[in-house]
Amino acid sequence: MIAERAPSRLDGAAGQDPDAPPSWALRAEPGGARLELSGAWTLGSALPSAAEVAARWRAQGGGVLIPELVAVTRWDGVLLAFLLALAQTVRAGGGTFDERGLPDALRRVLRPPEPAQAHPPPRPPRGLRRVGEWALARLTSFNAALELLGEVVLAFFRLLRGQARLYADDVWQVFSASSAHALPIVAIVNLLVGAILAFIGSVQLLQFGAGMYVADGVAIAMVREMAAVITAVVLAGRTGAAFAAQLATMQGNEEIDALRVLGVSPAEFLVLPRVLALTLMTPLLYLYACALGILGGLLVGSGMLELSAASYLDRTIGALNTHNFVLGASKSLVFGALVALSGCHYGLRAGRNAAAVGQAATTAVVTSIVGVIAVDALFAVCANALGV
Amino acid sequence: MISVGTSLCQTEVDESMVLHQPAHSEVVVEVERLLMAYGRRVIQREVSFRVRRGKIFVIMGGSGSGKSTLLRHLIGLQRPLAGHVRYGATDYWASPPEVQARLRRRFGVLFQSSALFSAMSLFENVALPLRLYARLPEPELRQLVRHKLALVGLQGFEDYDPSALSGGMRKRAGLARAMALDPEILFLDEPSAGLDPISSRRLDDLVLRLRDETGASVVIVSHELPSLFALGDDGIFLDAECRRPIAQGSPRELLEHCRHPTVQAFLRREPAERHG
Repeated sequence: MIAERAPSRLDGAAGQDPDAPPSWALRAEPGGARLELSGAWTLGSALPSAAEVAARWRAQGGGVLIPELVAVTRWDGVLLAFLLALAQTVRAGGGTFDERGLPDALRRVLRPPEPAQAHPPPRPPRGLRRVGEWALARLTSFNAALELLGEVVLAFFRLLRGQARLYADDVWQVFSASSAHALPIVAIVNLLVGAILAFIGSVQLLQFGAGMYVADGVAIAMVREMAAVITAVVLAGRTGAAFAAQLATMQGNEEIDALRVLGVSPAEFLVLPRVLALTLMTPLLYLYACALGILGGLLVGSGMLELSAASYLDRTIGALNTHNFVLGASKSLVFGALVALSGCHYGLRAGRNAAAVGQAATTAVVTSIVGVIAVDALFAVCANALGV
Repeated sequence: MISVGTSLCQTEVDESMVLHQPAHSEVVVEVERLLMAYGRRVIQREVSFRVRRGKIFVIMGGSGSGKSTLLRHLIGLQRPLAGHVRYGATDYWASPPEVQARLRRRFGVLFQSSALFSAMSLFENVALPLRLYARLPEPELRQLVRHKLALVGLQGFEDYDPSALSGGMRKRAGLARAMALDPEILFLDEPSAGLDPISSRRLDDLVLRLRDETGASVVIVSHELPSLFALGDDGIFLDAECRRPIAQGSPRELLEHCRHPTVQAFLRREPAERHG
């Protein structure tokens, strides 16, 4: 921002009204014209149009345009903006903008720019090329995810042999963040889901006199599907995003580079504890979610159906069998690994700026949720084929 | 010959700008015709130099000239498109992963951002390389870590988190970790970046003291002139426009003898057009 100039520093400005509106006059000269500026050229003034000045200059024959602050009382960045726009128009029209009569601060900025020394940045791809590069980037990312999965599996076998390098405090923090700290949100969400299922089931089934099957429906839906999926989605948004953000921040701080230089595999040191934590803790959270979901169903269903809690629970227990729990727990185990791998993968591949951290977290969450639904569909097909 | 004008890039480095070190010093790092690129964008080509034992080698150049990129190629974080990086007789990038891992244990790295592990205390940061490779009993390990931190003036800060330290202290802690395994070669990436002049001078003095006490060879990436002149025994100047080195020698020698206007402008901290 150019500082205001006191009127006494400018020729012709002494004795002028300091708040006079900005004005200009174009005086023809041999080879061009002189642009005489007066008044206060500051924010809030009603500024003349540079295009209008340029049009008048062209009408007079163009050539050299010499701006001069003959009676400018005050000026700031708006004068600079006006002169910049005028200079660009004059030069684009083949004329000469002679800024030599202006104050130093304006002259330096209005001078024609030096030819670019730096190599211009590459232009973004367009059309088919853009589609192709997008597809290649997705393939590369998928390949990197498979590589990470392989490294984690190898690191797991090293762990079993007692050869893995882990940082105990970090492992403990990851485990507790993936389990105990997630209990409240898993409880609230699954309690509400169970209640919603019971409400919808009651409304529909009561029409057919089949209200007693609400408990069965809530139990089977929660145990086979909802508890595992909802818990995985909650963990994706909470824990998976946290993993992605942590690792992306470490990437930006060069901590990942430092680990590599020390010969420590980030897959072993950082990813394995996180994958283990979520893989082991998610089935436990699933069981907890089942209990809370059934409780939610009981609170709503028994009220709407005028059933006692004991009767509701009796129907619930009767509807469930081991297969349902095995299916649900198996899903949750896979979901946990998927959420952890997704978060770690995008965190490790993040760029080294602040925006990249957010992008990594967002991408990890979206990929995790889509992955959970896709894997759930696969489980449904397999379960159906196996008659489970 | 140097042409003054629009094109100051040459196909070969002018011999008058290569101020050679005496041949009797053992070469610990040799870089030969390195070609560095990101995708299709070439960063630097034909990079060749030698780092001798016990010497401080500085990689100089303006912003965007590829100094830190060159360092990443030396420490195994980025594979070059062509060329060789040799530690002794071993070509790093032509070696299998286990040989590369052994070579990396011979050097320590101070990253520009210090790269202290944020989840660990200062003690645990410095102890990590020792726990990985030194197989020391815990009491001895604790003594050694305290010694390393005391070397850099951080005694008493063992239990601090990196976030609780100033920039200068984090740099010193990073240096302590880099020195944990008594490396033969120390790589420093912009060690003075973000430091006030006093802290920068203290870090320079620390580097000199560590070099003198341990005999380590040091490779420094920097554009901080006071540090370059204080530390550099030898060096190379990378040019962003030409995308190749344009001078070799210590900063002081280049200032006194190198005629290239870009090098002179850089070392004198003056715009290039003032030198004919």
